[in-house]
Amino acid sequence: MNIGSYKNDDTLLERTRKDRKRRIHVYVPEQVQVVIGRGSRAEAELHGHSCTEDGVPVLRRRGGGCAVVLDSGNVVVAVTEHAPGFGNNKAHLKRLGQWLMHGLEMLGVTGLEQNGVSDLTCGDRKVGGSCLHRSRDTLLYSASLLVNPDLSLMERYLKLPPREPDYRRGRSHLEFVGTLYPRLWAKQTEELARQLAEALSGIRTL
Amino acid sequence: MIVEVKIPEVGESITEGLLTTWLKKDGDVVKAGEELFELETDKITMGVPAEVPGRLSTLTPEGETVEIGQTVARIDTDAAEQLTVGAPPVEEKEEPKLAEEFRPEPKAEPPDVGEGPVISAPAGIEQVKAKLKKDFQPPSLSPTVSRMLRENRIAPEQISGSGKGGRITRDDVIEYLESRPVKPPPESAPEEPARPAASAGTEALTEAEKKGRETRVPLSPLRQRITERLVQAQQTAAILTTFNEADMSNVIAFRGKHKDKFQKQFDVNLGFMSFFIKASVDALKTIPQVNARIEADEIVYQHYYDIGIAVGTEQGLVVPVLQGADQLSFAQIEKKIADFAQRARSRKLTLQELVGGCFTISNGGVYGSLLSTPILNPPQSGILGMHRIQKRPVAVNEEIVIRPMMYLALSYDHRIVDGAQAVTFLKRIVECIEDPERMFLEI
Repeated sequence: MNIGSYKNDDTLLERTRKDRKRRIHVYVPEQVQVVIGRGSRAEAELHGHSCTEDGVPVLRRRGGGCAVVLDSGNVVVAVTEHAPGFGNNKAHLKRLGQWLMHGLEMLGVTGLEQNGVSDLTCGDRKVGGSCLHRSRDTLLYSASLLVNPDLSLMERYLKLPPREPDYRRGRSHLEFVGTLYPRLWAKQTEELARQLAEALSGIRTL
Repeated sequence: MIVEVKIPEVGESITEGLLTTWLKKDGDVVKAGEELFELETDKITMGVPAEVPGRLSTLTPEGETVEIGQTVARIDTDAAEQLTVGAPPVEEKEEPKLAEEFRPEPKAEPPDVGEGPVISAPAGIEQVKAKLKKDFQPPSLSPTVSRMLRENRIAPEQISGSGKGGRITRDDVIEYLESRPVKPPPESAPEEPARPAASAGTEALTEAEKKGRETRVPLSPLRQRITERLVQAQQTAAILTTFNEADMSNVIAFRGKHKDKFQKQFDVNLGFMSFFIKASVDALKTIPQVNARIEADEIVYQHYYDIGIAVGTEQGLVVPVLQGADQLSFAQIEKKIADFAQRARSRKLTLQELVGGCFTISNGGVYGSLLSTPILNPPQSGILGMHRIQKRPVAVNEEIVIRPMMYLALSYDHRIVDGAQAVTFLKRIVECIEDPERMFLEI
């Protein structure tokens, strides 16, 4: 299986490395893609033959965690910050997760919680996941939100993950995840991405 | 000299991680600051750099679980003479080597070699360090820059100077302040406490502060939320306000007649708010457009009646929501309102009580307001403004009489509510208030 690199956040990362300024990028993936974590073993996490059969690219991201499927029903939030050292990682995840929840709350999504290492949940359903990458005094936080994705693709491309948070309790993908769609005022992912970017850039508690 | 490369402390009780990728090969000559390998713990990956220059000998294969403090490689610093030092760490040009993986073409960017000094003669690590220390002695600071750094608790090392010889300028400090992450929550504070981002006017403002003419106070989370919501409302909806007035005589008489019994029976005062909530529910049922919201290209009609009550607190305005107001009695409504008001002022309202809501009532009259134009609480389509009761001369049955009057304002989202509907809605509220008994009869 060919595995490429997930490069969408590279420019953001490079710019922050150069000038140490915090940057935010909120976007909607243009095509269906499977994105695996830095240390993921593709054969353990993916139904590789389905990806190949459908011509779906498999990309490796900088951050950790297990494989996800992204399509135009997802919204990705990437943040880069100057952050020397390696400490406070969970604190960074918590802080940025809270910031993201605050942004979503401004768009009508309430009742979100942080669960597992860095998941966003609504009730016991996962509606977003995130990961962190630290390198050369720069932090990259990346979160993908399940706004209105084709959830059936998860069953098609992803095996059950080799490790899971306690709250998953062995549930299948479809039993485990939920979508933000019913709780949002904006119903188009592009519109949500625009509104979320606006909301997040205005929140000064980050 | 041989220097061991150990898995760094990452804090937070993490004791092990996964060495996912070697970014440098066994035998490579590496520079200080260059990333050697990637470490993954949970969903976090870290590129761990070399602390010293030299030749790398890896000890641990990729994909192995490693413990914090474990030695995973060694660096022979005697190979440092082969290095060009003093330059900033070289940009990582190659993606981490991952077996059996296809990689797109690397970006064709020139290497970032910086302008640091070059040591070509063989040198031990101590000599290299001494040379670096000498060459990178920080340039002196101007009095203005010194003061700005001191006031903002910034170490000079945190800022890259753009002036001559790397000297830190006033603009460098301002740019740093603007780019510095804003203060995080205390319990997760990895950065230093941050003042509000400075602007070009930093010096002047500081002077003004000294003279006591201005005081800068960070926005509280509640004030930030209020700010965001109000601006969002103004930018999203087409807000229009219609006015009317209500003769409060009958409500006052009704209340006067029953308030003592009400107080005795239910242990709560009978206020005016419950009448307006009941009247609003009645009007919402009559004009359902006001009880609807816009979502994308759809109108969502709400068949429930959750009414937000704006409550002023010392910290700002909060709007707890009275859920299912149509199902509540006058006494239940009054008890809820009293509870909201008390807990709002002691900041004990829960988030759940502050979200949702179909319609809002705001009573500026408690502060003496005679007339106002309330702003919508998105995504709601209507908000009622109550005001001060004022005895005024009015014409009744061809006679001028003095009556206790209240101006009422209904702000509404004109995208969804037409003018006639808004006027009818407000008129319905006036009818209910002027003839309160009809609310009990539901006519």
